[in-house]
Amino acid sequence: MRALLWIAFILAVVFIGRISSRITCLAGSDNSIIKIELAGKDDGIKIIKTWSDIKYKCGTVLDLARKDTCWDFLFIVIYIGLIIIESTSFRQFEPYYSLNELLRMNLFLAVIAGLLDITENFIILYNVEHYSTPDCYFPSRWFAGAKFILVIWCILIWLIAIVHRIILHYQKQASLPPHIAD
Amino acid sequence: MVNKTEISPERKVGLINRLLANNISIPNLRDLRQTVNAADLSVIITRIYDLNETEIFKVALLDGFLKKLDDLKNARRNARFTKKMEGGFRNGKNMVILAEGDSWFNYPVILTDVIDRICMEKNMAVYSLASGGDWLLNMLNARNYVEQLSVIRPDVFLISAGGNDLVGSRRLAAIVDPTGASIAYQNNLWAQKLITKAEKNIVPLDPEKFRDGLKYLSRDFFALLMFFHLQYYFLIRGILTGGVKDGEPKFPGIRIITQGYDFAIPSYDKRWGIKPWLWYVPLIRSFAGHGTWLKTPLQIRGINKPETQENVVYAMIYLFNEMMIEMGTIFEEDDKIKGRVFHIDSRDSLGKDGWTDELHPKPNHFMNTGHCFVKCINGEAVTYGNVYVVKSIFP
Repeated sequence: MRALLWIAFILAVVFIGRISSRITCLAGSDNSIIKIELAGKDDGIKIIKTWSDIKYKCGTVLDLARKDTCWDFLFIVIYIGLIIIESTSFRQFEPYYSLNELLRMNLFLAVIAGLLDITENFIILYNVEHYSTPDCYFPSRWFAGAKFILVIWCILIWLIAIVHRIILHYQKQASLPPHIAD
Repeated sequence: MVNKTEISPERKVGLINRLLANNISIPNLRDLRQTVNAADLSVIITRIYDLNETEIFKVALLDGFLKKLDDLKNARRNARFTKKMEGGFRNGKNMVILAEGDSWFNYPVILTDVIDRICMEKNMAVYSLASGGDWLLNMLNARNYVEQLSVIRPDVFLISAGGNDLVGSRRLAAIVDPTGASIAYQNNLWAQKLITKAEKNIVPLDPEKFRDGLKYLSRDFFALLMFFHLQYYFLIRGILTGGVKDGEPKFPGIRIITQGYDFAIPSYDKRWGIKPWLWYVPLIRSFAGHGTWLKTPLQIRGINKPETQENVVYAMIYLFNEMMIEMGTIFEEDDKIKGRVFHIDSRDSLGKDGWTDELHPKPNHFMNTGHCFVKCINGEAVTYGNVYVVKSIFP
């Protein structure tokens, strides 16, 4: 399960990464998918306008952005699953209660991050759909910002757990009862 | 005494009838436990639960999503166990452990349970058969532990069972007396002896709460308590003295560690709050059966006052733990198997805020109980007798 999720995660990163880099190549680094996720209203309208002006195959870059966002829904499920499974796995080696509790909180934060990402994706799809009416534009920056903070927090807790596990590894041997320690 | 004595089938039937009627004497209970077999246990349980055996196993059967999550957790634990073994873990110093039990030993995904804490120890490898919601009855019937004992030959066998036999499938409603005038305890000399012998200085007994709770415990509760006594005796005796070959039992030196829960609190409270790190408390209380194990069955029988409900559970858990502690004492009487049965006493270690839901502690308390198991497995000093008291170790 864990290995499958990691494989799915890597495949999704490669696949979505290819679509995103195509958008960046065509529209420039100032008009990338990440930029629109974190853009305010004016910048967002500008990016959408740029995308709608650049032809790509039979349509425009907007079609690529729509495709990227739709695949992102699958990516959300994968990374939520991964955060839950990895946090649970780290927790099984974590006897320090506060860190154990923080790893448990990752489960909750992963779900919240996923819900924020889903909301953000719907907002982007709405904005892409209404590209011709800039007044309808709704920025997704707050949802995207909160999502990134939560995901970075989860990864930070993982890193702390890894460091703590390494420290424990060296401490434990010394603290074992004499009849058990080597 | 652990040695078997023989009694006639007629006398055995008579003793079983007395046990079920809650008027068996202490010597008679001793005679019965020394001769009890699987068939007798089956007869007793069908009469306690007023169901035929097939129906009982249907009631106690584990299935559905929860079972799948439990299996998944066990599969991961057992894969780690195998990996350790493949790495030459068994070297005479490390501890190989077999665990059988209920949700205190296997709570899926969210909570860190007792076995999770034990698995964190570098010198311990745990093979787990535990399943949330499992009944002692199921464990004895399925006998999965017997098969694994033979294969794994563990140094330590851990068991946590009985809670679901008491409160699963709303059984609690069937073993209380709503009149509040029960004299079943007064009629049961064995239960009275348990309380007389209890180490009340270490785990204090609140006489008012206990007396109030007793008034609502019917003779069926005491029959069930004595049935647990027989079941545990049957299980432990089988492991410690079974399969003798050339005068040697099959599992020489194996130690057995039991546990007996804490004073659970009947409640419907969902505990919504503003502490984000306790996000799982209202979630579990909303979707995982909270209120249905203790509160609802008591209310079904018209025991509606929260203090009375608490006192009923208090009396039950106090007696259950003393029954388990006595088990260790019984096996101390035989020099050949002395010092092999231990009990982890979690009573009064959680307090009112230590519960995730009606039956399960918050992870820090699970970890404290797990840490006491670790101390016991490592052979560190006991609190008294063969008992490790969680509250004394983590005041």
